[in-house]
Amino acid sequence: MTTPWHDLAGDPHDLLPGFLLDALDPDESERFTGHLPSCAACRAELAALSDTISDLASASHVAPPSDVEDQLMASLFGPSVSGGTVDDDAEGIVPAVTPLASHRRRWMWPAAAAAAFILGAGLVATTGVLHVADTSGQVVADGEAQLILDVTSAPDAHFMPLDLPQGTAKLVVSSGMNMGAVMATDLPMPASGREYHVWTVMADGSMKSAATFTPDTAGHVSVMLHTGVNDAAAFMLTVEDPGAAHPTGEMLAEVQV
Amino acid sequence: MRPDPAPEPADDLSSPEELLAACASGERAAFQALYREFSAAAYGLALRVLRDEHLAQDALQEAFTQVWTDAGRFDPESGSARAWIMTLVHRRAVDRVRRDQADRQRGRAWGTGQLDVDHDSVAEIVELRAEHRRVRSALAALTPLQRQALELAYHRGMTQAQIADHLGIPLGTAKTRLRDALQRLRLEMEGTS
Repeated sequence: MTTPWHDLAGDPHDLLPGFLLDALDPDESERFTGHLPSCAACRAELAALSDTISDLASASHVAPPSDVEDQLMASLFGPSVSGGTVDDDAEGIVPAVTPLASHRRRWMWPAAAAAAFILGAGLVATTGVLHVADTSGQVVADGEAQLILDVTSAPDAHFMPLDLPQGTAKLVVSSGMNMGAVMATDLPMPASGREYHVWTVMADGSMKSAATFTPDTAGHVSVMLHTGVNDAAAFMLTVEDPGAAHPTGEMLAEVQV
Repeated sequence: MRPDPAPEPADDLSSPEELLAACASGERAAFQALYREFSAAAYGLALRVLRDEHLAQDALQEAFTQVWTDAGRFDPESGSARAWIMTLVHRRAVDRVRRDQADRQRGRAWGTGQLDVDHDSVAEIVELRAEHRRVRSALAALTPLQRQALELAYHRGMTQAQIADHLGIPLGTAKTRLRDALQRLRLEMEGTS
């Protein structure tokens, strides 16, 4: 039997077993992955041994607690479970998967996410293609609640009061997470059919829809911003018709970063 | 309302490779099907390496998050979908072990000669499957020193250098043992599959 493994000192082929077993130091690992593209023998050997390793890996089966699956699905799909249409879903998937990469978020889905957040546990989401567990409303709320907790408890959380005529609201941002949230108490309901709308104002003056919400009956709000915060020059709170693409309504507050 | 809707459109006929491809195009149901297919093996592995339910659950979640985000990077030429997923799980678990190396508590079983391959802490809840028996008999064909090196690397998350240090042997010897262990393991498994 031929072997591509040589015993020469420092030979990258020598690193293959350690690579397969995740037993390399980072620099060794880098050296091996650098070597791999140019070495068909190593690639073939890796492929040939991969089943052996995955047999070894799969020898012990232990069913994880069922809430692990729930948490996983919520963390991946929570904010965009609510899309309601196939298009929203397709647009929303990538940003929803990587909550920390909020600069990749498109601002067409915050309205849907906020709507789901408001509708809460009663919402059953079907995307037209996929059926999502009927707890999806709760999942959305839990996923968002967890993110809000993460932002507000971030070591670099920065709280900025929003000066409102009625009620108390604040914006909290974490530059480490590149995320922000709005929290309010005693916020009055907007005029019938209207909603609060947060806009992220960029340095060049352009604006991105960051969140929409209406308070609950007690006037409480806690909602994530669906834009990044690190490139923002300011945030603005207005009242708009649902789904507004640009701020046109009454401006309630603005806070400079 | 249905309490637990079956994943659609992914079904039992989809291979893991097809499910991964569907994940890459954003099909959540395919992801859920993959999770249900491999989570027990993945959790078993994470528990084996981390020996802590909470850490293992974290590793499981992190690994499957990566399955979803990186599904498009899966290359069928380099192995099966199962191998790819289990590699992600193992890597997460091992990364965690290395981060927590200050916690010597978890390392108390790291004695030379303590080859608890057949007697680990989760053995009683391990579902005994053909796969498991096959691996056990293949492991039994290794020399004790090979088995020990493999155990320290794969299930304790030690690097080659740490194994050499731990066993007081030259690095080259540790590498050789791992290489020989893998080759032997492959021969044994190919012989029984």
